[in-house]
Amino acid sequence: MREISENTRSAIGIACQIAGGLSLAFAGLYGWNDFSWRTAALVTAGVLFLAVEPILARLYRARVAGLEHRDRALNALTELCHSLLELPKECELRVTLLRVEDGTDPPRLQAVTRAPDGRLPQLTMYIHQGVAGHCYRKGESAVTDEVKEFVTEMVALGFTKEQARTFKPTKTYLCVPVKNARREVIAVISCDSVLPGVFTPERVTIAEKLTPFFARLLTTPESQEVKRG
Amino acid sequence: MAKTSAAKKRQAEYVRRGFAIQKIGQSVIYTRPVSEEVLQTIKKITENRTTIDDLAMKVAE
Repeated sequence: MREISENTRSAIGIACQIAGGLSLAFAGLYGWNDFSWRTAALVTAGVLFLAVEPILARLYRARVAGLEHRDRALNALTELCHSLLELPKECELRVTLLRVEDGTDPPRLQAVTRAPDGRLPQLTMYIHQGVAGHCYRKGESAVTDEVKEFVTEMVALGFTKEQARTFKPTKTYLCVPVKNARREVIAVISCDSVLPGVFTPERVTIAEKLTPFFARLLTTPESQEVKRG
Repeated sequence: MAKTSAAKKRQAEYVRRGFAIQKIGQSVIYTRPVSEEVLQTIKKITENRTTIDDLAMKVAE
């Protein structure tokens, strides 16, 4: 289903209100002396036009509420993934859900939620960058066990030096693809830690087992993104 | 030295558990396809459109 932006919805609402007002005004003008089919048609059109705005507003509110519900559920799943990996506090584990956005060329990996602090990264990341980009392109789980020279290795993985310097230097990454029923990658769960060697094969399996639930939430038709603004 | 041997031990464990090794620049990346079991679960719960309650139960399990 094609989505409409909030601005477009407002513009349609205003246009309908003006059209409704004008229809009723003309109905009054024509019907003053002689009530005819034309007057009846104008009254009907006026009422219909005036009804469009509240209906659109109601639908939009319901949709935004649905999206907020979806975002809370995704956030809870990200927190759950963070807990289930059971890493000691000194690892400073972060779990970030990166959703694939096809609207750009190349597609980008947009951070949607992050545990434990919820602070999303500022940088826009693309599918040719980082371990997450590698995971997306291969469609497989990917682990870097130990990053020795952070900036150099990030540059080798497709970031610029300037971008790499803005990241928190971490020692290890685990990225797991979230696939839909057609086996297309729709998101990536990216985990990082400041201590090396913590993403064991068992932990990779734990993260993989959570991906169907992320997929379920990300592919629910009523929770697809609305373009805002 | 101890660090290198620990990394080598982990590398052997990744390989034993079905990960492939790939080098990009200085980075060593271990990759593994997502298991068929996970892919089947995705198919089941996204196509059957199970309810959020069912989903919560599965997570709780």
